[in-house]
Amino acid sequence: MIEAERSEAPGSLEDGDRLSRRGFVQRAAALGVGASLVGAGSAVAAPRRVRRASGKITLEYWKFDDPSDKGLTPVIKQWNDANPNIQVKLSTFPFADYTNGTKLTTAFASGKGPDMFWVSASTMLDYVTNGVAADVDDVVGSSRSKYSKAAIAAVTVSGKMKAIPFEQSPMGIYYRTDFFDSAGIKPPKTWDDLRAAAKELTTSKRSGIVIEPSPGAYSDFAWWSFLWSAGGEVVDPAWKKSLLETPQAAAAFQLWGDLVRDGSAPKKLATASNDIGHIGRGDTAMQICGLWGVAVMATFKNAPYSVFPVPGNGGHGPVSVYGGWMQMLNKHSKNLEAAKAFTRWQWVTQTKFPHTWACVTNTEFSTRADVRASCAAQFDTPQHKIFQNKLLPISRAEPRYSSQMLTAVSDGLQASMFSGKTGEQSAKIAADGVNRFLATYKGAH
Amino acid sequence: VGYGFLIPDVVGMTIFLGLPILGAFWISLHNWSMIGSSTWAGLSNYRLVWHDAAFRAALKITAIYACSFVPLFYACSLGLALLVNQKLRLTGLFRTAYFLPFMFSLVISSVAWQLLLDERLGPVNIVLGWVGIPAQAWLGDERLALASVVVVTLWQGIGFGMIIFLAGLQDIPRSYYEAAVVDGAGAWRRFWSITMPMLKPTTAFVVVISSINAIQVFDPIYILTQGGPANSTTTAVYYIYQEGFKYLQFGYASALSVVLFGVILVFTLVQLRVFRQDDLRG
Repeated sequence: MIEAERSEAPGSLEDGDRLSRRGFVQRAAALGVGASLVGAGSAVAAPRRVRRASGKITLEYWKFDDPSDKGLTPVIKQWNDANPNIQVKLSTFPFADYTNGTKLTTAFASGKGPDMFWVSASTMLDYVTNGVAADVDDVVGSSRSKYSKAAIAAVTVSGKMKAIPFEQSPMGIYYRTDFFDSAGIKPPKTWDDLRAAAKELTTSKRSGIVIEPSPGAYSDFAWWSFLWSAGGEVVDPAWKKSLLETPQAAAAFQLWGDLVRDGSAPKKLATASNDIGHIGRGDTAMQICGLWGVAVMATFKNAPYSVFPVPGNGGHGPVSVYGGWMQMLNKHSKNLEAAKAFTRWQWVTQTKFPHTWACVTNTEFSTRADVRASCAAQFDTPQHKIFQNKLLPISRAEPRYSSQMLTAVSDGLQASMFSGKTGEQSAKIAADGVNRFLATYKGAH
Repeated sequence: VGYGFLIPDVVGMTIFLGLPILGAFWISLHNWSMIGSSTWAGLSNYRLVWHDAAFRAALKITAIYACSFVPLFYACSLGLALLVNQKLRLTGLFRTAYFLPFMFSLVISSVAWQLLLDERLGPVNIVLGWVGIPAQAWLGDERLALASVVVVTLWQGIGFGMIIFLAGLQDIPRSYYEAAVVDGAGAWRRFWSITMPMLKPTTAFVVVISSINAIQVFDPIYILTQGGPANSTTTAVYYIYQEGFKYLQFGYASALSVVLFGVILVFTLVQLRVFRQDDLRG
C-alpha cells in the first residue's frame, strides 16, 4: 500500500516547497521592478512579470500521443486544483511529429518551446548540445539516492543531470510457448540456436522472429542487446573513434542479415516491431520487444508466451538494453522555477503518481527503487518476474548517441539486411559513418 | 484596374512564397540547429553539398522515380480520360471511381497500401499466390520498394490527371472530328492528328506539374518506407527532411533546398521551352 506523503499534497508548491519559492522571490526582488519590466531575458524575472500581468502562470507540458496520457490527466488536475496561480497545460502530438519530427524543433525555433517536455535517449543529446536542457540536479536533490545509478548516469552530461528519468523498460525476446512446444524447441541459448529456431518456426503465414526492419533509431535500440551480448561497442568512451569495426560488432550485424536472408524475419512490417501484437496474433514465433509488451499481451487470451534474454555470443553473457522516456525542462523557460517545482512534485517527492504511472497505467520499471518495490503486487506474472529478475539486472541504459551516429548504425543494419553485405562490410559502413561524424563533432557526450 | 486585381495574388505570393524562399537562402548561409543559436557560415554549406555523395545518390533515386512516374502518370491519366470521355452508360460512375483515390489523404492511402503490400498477410501477395507468383516484400526489397512507391502514387494521383485531360478533351471542337471523318480519317489518325495536337497545352500543364510533384515526392516515402530499405527510396526531399529535422542541421538542409529549387527551376524552364517550341498557343 502506498502511503500518502506530505509532499503528495497537491498544495505542495505553496506549502512544501518553501526554499525554491523563497529563492524565487528573493531573486525576483533583487532584479527589481525595472528588470522585470524589460524582461531582461532572465529565467527568474519573467515569472514575476507574468504573474503580475495575468495573475497566473501556465506551464506548457508536451509529449507524444499515447493511450497512457489518461494517466497524466488526474495528476495534472490535482496540481492545477491546488495551484491556481501555476496551471499546467498538457499538449500531446502524433508520435512521428513529436519524435524526430517537426513539432518540438519548430516550436523552439520560433521561441515557443514548451516549459517541460519528454525526450528519449535518441534525441536527448540534441537538446543538451543546443543549450535547451536545463540542469535538474536541484529537482532531484536529496532524493538522488532513491534513483538507480545507471538511470542517473544516463541523463548526466558533463556532471549535470539534464532530464528526470522516470521509467525503465528492458528489452527481451518474447516467444510463443505453444509454437515452441509443438516444434519441440527450447528457448535458444546461443545465436546459432536462435537462428535455427527462427528458421524452423517460419511458415507461409508466420515469421520465425520479428526484428525491426525499418531504418531509424528504434532498429538501433532493438539491436543494442545483440551488439552488447556479443561484446561489441559503438564508440570509445572518449568519443574519438568508432569501435564497430570489430568481429563482435560484425557478428551482430551478420546475425540480423542472416535472419532476413533466411526468410525468418520479415523485410517489412505493417506495424512497427514495438507492437507486441505480432506475437499476440500469432504472426510470429519470436519478437524482440520491451517490458511494455507484457501489459498488451494480457489482451491476447489464447496466446501463451514467455520471454528470454538475447543470448550471449562468443563467450559473452547476455546483455539487455532498457529504454524509457525522460522529462526535460526548457532552460530558456520564463517559468523554469515553477516547472521545476511541478516536476519535483510529479516525479520526485511523491510516490503515488510514479507508482501509478509505472505499474498501473503502464508496465514499466520505475527508476526509483522505492517505487519499483511498490509495484511487486502488480508485477506478479511469470513474465514480469523474468523481466524483473533476469532482464533488468543485465540491462544497460539506451545510449544517448547523436542522430548522425544512430543513422550510421541504422545504415549498417540496412546494408546487412537488405543489400547482401556481410557483417564485416556492414560494420565498416556503420563505423565509417560514425567516424565521419566524430571527426567534426565537438559537443558533449 | 487590371493590375489592381493582381495585387492580392502578388502580395500573397510574396508573403507566402517569396519571403520563405529568401528566408531559406538566408538560413543556408548559416549553421543553425533551429533549437539553438546560429552562426554565419558563408557558402560553406554549399561546398558541403558539392561533396555530399549521399545527396547525389538521393538525387539519382529522385530522377529514377520521376522518370518512371511522369510518363506513366501521363499515359494512364490520358488513357483514363479517353475512356471516360466516351458516351457510354455509367460514365459518370467511372469518372467518380477513378477520381476517388485523389480525394483520400495520401497518408491514409499509404497506410492502407502498406497493409495491402504486406509480405505474408497482404492481399496483393495472396492474389498473386493464386497464379503461382511467390510472395514478394514489395516495400522491403531494394529492387521493388521504389517501384511500389511509384504504383501507390500513381494510383493516388491519376484521377487528378484524368480530370485535367478530360477538360482538355472536351474543349476540342466536335467539328474537327466531323471534318476528319468526312475526309476519311480513321480513329487512330484522328487521335494523332487532332486530339494530341489540341491537347498540347494540357499536356504541358500535366507534365510540368507532375514532374515538379515527382521531384518533390515526400509523403509516401515518409509513410511507406522511411527511405529504406538500405536508402533505396531516400529521395532528395526526404534526405533534406532528415538533415533538417533528424540531424538539426537547418543551414545545410536549407542549402540543399536551394540547390533542389535550382534543379526544379532549370528542369521546368527546359520543359516549358520544349513545349513552347511546339507552339503552345496552337
